Formats: sequence, structure tokens, C-alpha cells
Amino acid sequence: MEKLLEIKNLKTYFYTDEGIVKAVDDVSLKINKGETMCIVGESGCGKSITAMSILRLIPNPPGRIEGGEIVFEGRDLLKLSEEEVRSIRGNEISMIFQEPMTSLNPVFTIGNQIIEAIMLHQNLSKKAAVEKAVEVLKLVGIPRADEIINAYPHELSGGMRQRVMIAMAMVCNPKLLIADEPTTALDVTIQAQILDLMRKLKEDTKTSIMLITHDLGVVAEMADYISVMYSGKIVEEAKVLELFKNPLHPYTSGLLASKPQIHIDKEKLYAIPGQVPSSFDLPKGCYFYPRCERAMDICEQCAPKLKQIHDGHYVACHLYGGEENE
Amino acid sequence: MNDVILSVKRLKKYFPIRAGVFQRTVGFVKAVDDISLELKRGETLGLVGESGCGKSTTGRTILRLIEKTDGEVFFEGKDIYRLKREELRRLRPNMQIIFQDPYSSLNPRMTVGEIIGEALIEHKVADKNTVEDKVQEVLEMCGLSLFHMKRYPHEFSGGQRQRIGIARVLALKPKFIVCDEPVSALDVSIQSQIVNLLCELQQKFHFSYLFISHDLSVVKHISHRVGVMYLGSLVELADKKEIYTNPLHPYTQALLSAVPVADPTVQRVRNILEGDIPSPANPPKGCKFHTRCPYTKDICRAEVPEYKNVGNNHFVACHRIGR
Repeated sequence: MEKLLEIKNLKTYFYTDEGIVKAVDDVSLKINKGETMCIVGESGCGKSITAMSILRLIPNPPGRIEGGEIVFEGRDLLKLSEEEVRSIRGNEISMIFQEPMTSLNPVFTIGNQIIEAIMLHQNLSKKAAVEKAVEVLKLVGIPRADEIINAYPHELSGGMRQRVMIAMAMVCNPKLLIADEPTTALDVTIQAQILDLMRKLKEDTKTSIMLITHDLGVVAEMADYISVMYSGKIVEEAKVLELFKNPLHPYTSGLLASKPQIHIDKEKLYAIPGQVPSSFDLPKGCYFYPRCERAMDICEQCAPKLKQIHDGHYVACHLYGGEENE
Repeated sequence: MNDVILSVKRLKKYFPIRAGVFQRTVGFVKAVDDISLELKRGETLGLVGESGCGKSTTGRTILRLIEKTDGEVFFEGKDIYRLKREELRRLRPNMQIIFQDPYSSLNPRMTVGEIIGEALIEHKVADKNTVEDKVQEVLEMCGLSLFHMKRYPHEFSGGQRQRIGIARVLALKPKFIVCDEPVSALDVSIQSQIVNLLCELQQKFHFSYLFISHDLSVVKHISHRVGVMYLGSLVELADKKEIYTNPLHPYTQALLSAVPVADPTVQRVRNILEGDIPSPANPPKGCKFHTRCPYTKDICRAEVPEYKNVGNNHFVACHRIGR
């Protein structure tokens, strides 16, 4: 498989009055062409910040990318000028956000906002841009696209707004679509529609998708490859079937066991004890150590590195040997 | 065990829509439209539906936190809408609510001890001398420590705050609790802690829960019976097992098939619903679901289907069933 994007040792820190928050701490991952890569984790684990770092959308101050490389088609995005990054944003890499109401501008029509992106990136005339906008709205399954184009965001429902966001993101045929919790704010029946749409678009356009979510159900349905994050670090990554069948890290298996399943009956849910540690007060060794049921002495002392256990299955845990990831 | 603690009969709650200079009523949002249900002691009834279908309003109208438009609510045989203010107040400790958002339902200026203690003193469950012991007792039951009593809500994480909310309710020793999306704002690993806590407390104290949630997996885990709402009405209600294995209403079928399963080896046939939920201010005539239903016939557009028992205490409102 050909690599589209590779992140190497990314470090994104936030400098606050209370101290340094290592939101993304030495994260490496890659996204192959035509693949859906999912980042799973609980709130505050750094999954959104990883995505924002790719597009260099980290507000500075307080945030800063402190190190690492983000290689997209041979270029390091972190070394590009602001001008060059702008030509990539929305054109080659685009992003959809969780809350479609806050990411659409309420004072402009839907059409206006889509056309803006087209004209900015593709040098089309206004008329051609309008046609293209209608076409892309039809593509994402919006009925009466030629009327909706003149509607304002508040006139549309949540599911429709998310469709508009996807239309906007797809209009320049990006190579990578970053979707940050795209269905979290939606109802299940609408979520099913949107996930279905994303799958269809991926097949038709061969766009790679980086999907960020906390919902393991969504992951199981969408992902080819999964990275699990905990407190700013990747603790496990593997292909989707492998990860669900054979989760290695105690956090991953705990997460899978604690989710009630609609097709399985369980007497009692497993619960991971304790809470996610505060970013200001992280444990010295493995960040998961205080909550881990299989913790050993070494876990308290030194942080485990991400290691390959078998083909394409990486885990950062002292329970496993295996060769070290370079 | 099998006695009915709560009985709701044809409950309706309409919110007026006002417009114009004189704020004339131009229509109604039928948030709760003719709902009937019963809840037994020690039982959990799950109420599911999509946002805006009226599940929360149902919960609040049952507790008389907002006034009904029509219908009756019997709590232990008494119609709570016929009670006088003082009588209702005396009944309050028996029927409580746990809210979704643990951030906005706790007073930021009060310590946890005060938050829980206030309810105890207000309802004369404890006096000033015994209140501290009582608070300690419930905090421990909810998995919190004694030193937490002197802390303020902002010092806690989401899961801990939800525990405080539960402790506050638990302190009053209620018989019936409305749980309004109690785990929706929490992360998966914390969610299961709270769900387990609610289950344990129910076994210990025989609480009856009305568990409102949009998450069908959680509802399936915690409930004994499940009701499905669509646009203010119950479309189906049955035993948990029955409804998840043999859903009759097309909406329930679609809802269940839309839930993502956390197992990539499970291949499912999905029936994806078209379109959005209609506005509750202007619901479709006849069967409210007919605009999205794959089996719509003429009768669905014309007549409201009757909500009836099709055997085995399986209630459903659909023209396709029982004809």
C-alpha cells in the first residue's frame, strides 16, 4: 500500500498558566492511499489535536508544535510557509468537524460558502462554480440542491448541515479527508445515513479518510486501520479485524469490554476503574498504570515504547516483548 | 414485587407557539402526545427515541416538573396532578430525577456536602446533627470519598459529578427515579462505571427507573422493558428481549439496524431511513411515521394507528400489525 501521509514523532504542546500540557506526545502514524484510518480515544486524549496539527490549525499561543514531521506526498507540512499550507487546506486535505452548526457561517447562504472554496482553489468562473456547487450537493444526497444552495444554515436540519459540510470538504476532490467526530452530534438514523455517504464517497473518489471518534461501533464499521490513543500517546495500532479480535493493550480490551453491545447480552459491564489522569499530573511510567489491572513494577517506573508484536500490530505495553518500532 | 408504582394515562403536553406583536398562539408543539405506560416496583423502563421526540418532556411531565396539558399520572395510586402544593412537596422525596449534564445540574457555589445535605434537610430526612453522617453514607455508596464533601463541583471530573448527582438523589431514598440521559455526556470507560452503579443501587433498594436515553445499546443493557418514541408518541413498547429480537414497528426496526456494532465481523443488512424527522410543530397527518416509512399505504396517511397490545404485553401502533 502506498503511503499518503506519515506523521513522525509529532509533539504538540500547550503552554498554559498551570503548566505545559503535552496534548500530543511523540505520536507517529501513517495513512495509506484509499484507506480509512481511525483514531479512537476518550475526550482529552489528543485525537483532535493530532488532526488539527496536520492542517496547522493549532492556535498559537497557547499551542505550539514542538517537533516531529508530517510528510504529505513527500513534503513536510510543518516546514511549509503559511501561504503554501493555505493552498493545501481545503484543497488537498480537507476537514469536517463535529458540530455542523458552529462550523458553518450563519450569515451566508450554503451556496456562498461552497462557492467561496471552489473559486479560491480552482480558478473557476462564478457561473461554473455555482454549477459545481449544485453538483456536489447532489452528490452528497441533498434533495432540491438548486434551491438549498440559496438557503441559510439555520434552515437546515443537523443531518443536512453535516451533508453540506461534507459537500464543502469534497468539492475540491481532496486526497485526504479528516473527519473529526462527524456523527457524534447526530441521531442514530441520521448517523447511519452520513456513514453510508462517507463510505460511498470513499469508494467513488478513492479519497483517504482519517476518522476521529470515540464510538467503537462507528470504528468497527468504517475503519481499515485503527490507532488507539490515551493521554496524548498511541497505545495500540492494528488492522480493524485484528484489533477487535485480539486487543493487546489492557486499555483497548477494557474499552471494548465496557461498551454495552446491542447484539450480545452481558450480565454486568466491565468498567475500567478510576479516571483519565490530568494532563498536568501524568504518572511517571506508563500513563495507564494507575488504572491497569495487569500493572507490574516496571510499569510504574518506565514508559513503554510502541513495539510491533506481529505483522502490523503495534502496542505500547510492558506485557509484550516484540521488536521495537524505529 | 409486581405492583405498579407509576401509571401514566393518555398524558399530553403541548407547548404553545406564539407569534406576532400580541403573542397570539398560532399553533402547538405536541411534545408529548397521548402517552400511556406503567412502571412496576424495582423495574427499569427504557425510553428511547431521537432528539426532539419528547422523551425528556415525558420524564419531566410525569414528575410534574412541568405542568401537563391533559391526561393523568398516578404515583402509588395518587393522581399527582390533583395534589395540593404541600402534598406534592411531601411526595417529592419519593420521585426524583438524575439529569444528563453533570456540569450544569450542580450549584457551583456549594460544596458537595451542602448540595447533598440541602435536599436532606429540606425534606426533613435528616436534621442538622445527623446530616453529615447521612451524606457520608451516600457518598460511600456512590464510590466517592469522605474528603470530597468539602469540595466544589468544579474540582470533579464528569463521571464523579454524575456520581454526586446520583448521591443527591439516593440520599432521599426515593422509590422512583427518572434518569434523563445520565450517561450520555460521559466517556465509554466512565459510562460503564455509572451504568453498573445504577444497576447495583437498584438491586439493593428496589428503585424503579424510567431510563431515558438515545443510546439503544445502553438501554438494552439496563432495562427490563423498552418503549420507543417518535414525534411525541409511543410507537412500540415491549419486554427488552421481545423488542430487540422481534421489533414490529418499522421505525423500531430502522432504529435498531442503524446502531453501529462494535464488531467488524458482524455483517448486517441495514435499512437506512430516508429524510429527517418532521417538525413536531407540524407533524404529518395519520401515522406520524408515514413520511419516512418504507411500507406506507393510503390508510397510514389518513388514519392514526391505534396503540394496542398484540399479545405478550407487546404494544405497537402500526396499521400493518394486527390486521
